[in-house]
Amino acid sequence: MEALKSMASQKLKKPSPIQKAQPPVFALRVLELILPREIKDQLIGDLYEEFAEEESSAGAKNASQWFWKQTVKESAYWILRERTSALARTLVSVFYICLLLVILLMSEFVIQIEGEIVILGLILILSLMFLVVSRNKDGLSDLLVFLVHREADMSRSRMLKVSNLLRSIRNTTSVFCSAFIIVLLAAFLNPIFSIWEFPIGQFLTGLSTLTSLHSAAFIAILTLYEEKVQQKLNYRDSAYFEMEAEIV
Amino acid sequence: MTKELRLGEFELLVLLAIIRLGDEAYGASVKRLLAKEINRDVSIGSLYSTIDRLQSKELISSIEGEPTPIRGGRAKSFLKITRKGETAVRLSKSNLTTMWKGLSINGGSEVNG
Repeated sequence: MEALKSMASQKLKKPSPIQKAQPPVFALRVLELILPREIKDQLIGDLYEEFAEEESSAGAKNASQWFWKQTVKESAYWILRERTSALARTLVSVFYICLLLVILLMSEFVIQIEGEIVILGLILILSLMFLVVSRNKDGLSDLLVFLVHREADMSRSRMLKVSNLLRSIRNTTSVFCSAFIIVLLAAFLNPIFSIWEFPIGQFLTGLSTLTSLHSAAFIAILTLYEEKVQQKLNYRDSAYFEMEAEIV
Repeated sequence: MTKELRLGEFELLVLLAIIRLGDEAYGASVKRLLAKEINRDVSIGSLYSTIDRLQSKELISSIEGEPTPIRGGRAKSFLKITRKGETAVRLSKSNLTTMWKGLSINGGSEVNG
């Protein structure tokens, strides 16, 4: 019995391969942050397994280097595969913020010319559109196909993508338009902050008014197009059901 | 032939590896088998994106195993080919055999599938 106990305790004391070395903690955190939730556990588990093999054949230092190499490789792969749209969105957002800063810095020179404000309003709307569109690149290419060739043969899922894209652009523009209207109302109704008395205030008020008008026109056009896409979808659905009825 | 049953080259290899491995098929073992048998060292990421695609086509299914210390306390996801997957593999083999029949490359002898 004693012999058995001592054997058991010796077995317990013997370190398992996983206790000898662990993959770099920071690399693990990077993977946990970047990998998609659905495959995160399986993929990290597989890398753990390979790390243990690498460690027993090439040593802890080489295994650690190998793990880092895999982390960089996998992170780059999943960023490019899954998060390209997020990357594009971030870049567009940075561009948009820079553009606003430039507008604010140049406002003193621009305030004299009304035409410039109209163009800036349009730029704001277009930037906003790009923000939304960069999230849905497939939808954008299908939307362009739809605009150029109305009768193009598109699958139902692609048509739905176009419809969803139009809806999201319209919704975002509506929010944008509402925000500008609220800013305008707040500026006019508040007697303490009479911002339109200053050049920058006049510029912002002008820009808000014109952007709201542009947005309203844009929303009207989008609604029209949405209806057209919906009509096409309905037509396809009815044609499909007729065909199915014929087969039955 | 439905679209889901058409297989790409790597999809077919992954399905064949899953069949070969039987109850022991999961990401790392599929990767090891591909490296050992056909000397193809694939990134685990591209393997998982193929597995994901095969699952969405319902050609394979997965069952979660128990978490193990060697995997840092993470569970294995065992892969199993479905009936639809088997049909796709058979169809792919038959298509390849048909296309190879009577074909010779660079004046070599006839290649039989």
